[in-house]
Amino acid sequence: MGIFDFLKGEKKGNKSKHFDVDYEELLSFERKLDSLSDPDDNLYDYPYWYSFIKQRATSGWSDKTNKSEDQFVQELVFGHSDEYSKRFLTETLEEKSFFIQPRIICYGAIHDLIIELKNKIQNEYPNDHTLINRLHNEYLHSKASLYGAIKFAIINNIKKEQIKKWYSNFNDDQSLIQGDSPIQEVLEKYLIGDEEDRMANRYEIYELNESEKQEIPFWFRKGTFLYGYFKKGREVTNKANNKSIKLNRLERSLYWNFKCLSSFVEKLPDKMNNYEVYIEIYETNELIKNYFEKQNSEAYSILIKE
Amino acid sequence: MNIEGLIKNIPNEIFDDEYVSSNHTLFELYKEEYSLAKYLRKKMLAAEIVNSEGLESNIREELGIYDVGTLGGKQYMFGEVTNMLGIMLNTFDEENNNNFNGYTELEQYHTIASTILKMLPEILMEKMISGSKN
Repeated sequence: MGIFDFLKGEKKGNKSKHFDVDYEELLSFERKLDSLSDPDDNLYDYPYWYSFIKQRATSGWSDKTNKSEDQFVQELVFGHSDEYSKRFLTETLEEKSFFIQPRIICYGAIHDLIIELKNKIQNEYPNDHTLINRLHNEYLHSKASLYGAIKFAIINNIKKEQIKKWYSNFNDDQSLIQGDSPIQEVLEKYLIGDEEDRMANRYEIYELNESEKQEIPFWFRKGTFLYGYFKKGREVTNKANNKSIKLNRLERSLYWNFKCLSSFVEKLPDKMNNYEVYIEIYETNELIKNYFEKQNSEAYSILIKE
Repeated sequence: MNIEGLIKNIPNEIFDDEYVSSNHTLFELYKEEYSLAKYLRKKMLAAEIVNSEGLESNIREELGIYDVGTLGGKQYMFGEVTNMLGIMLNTFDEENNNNFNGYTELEQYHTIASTILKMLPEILMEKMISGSKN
């Protein structure tokens, strides 16, 4: 920090609302957030949206150990879009568009402002590593928040031309928009479930069409620990008895999740019996078993009972 | 603006033994019916159901998939779930043991199961009048 830098912060007699130091660049950033905001529409309250970026960047999710920055951002993109999609499962396109528009507009503008601010701070205060690191984290999270919102818009068939109107610097980069489910890494690392299903293309519930969604029992729609659905059935073999049976798409999805959840139930220690997460996993698994027992007793006998 | 969507609905409670034991008994006896009450409670916690109209519409939607015969069976089972939850809650109250983590959940499941039970005759009637066996 230069010896006269303190003057920059005091020029207008302001104190920063979001930072521990009062550099003019930071105060200017905050003024821009205020000036962009529409006082008559709280959907466009830029300091409010920035507070999410700030909070996300300081939480434990900022730990990037063993992950490239691209992978880190892609997983966050997937997570944000997934969360919006699960919440807006049954709403109309109009409601989804109304929900996502301010997020793309505000996160887009904030992302650009953070890039600009980060560059200025790196040039003016190259030794203020704490601030530079924080801004870099905020840059990653603003990018993930923006492209998570864009991914949600694209999944819901909002045209890219429309997205460009909301955010003119939109980078139509497939790997970024696609995102990356962090769950897949865990499934592959620990070889969970049948390999064919583990490596197959699985879908989130919001990626299914209406008739596919209608088939799914309520208890198989919203679990935190569900690992995707299939759009096609397949013949499944139980290696323990070498018997095979053809499952339809719902049964295949149920059986795949049963295998995954069983792996966790087996590994969770007894002392976790009082944890809500354990109860949820155990009960979903039991409901799957119950479904096969009632609806497809042959599959139950071959794949689950034996 | 609905900012509730930003709240993650991760299951992170650690319940007391009284809840775990009651929950286990109810689940083992009435898997689907009890799970429906819990499912609707989760939607309420996630602010996906915010009033009684929303609750009733969700109940109609979930039970609307069953035929008349199945709904008759469900009516009996929801009666059992409601009764058993009522007995459990009364026992906890009599023992002055209602501050454990999970008591409120059981209370909420009881309220939801009672609402389902109250609505079932009407849903059943509608199904019969519409002439649809499915």
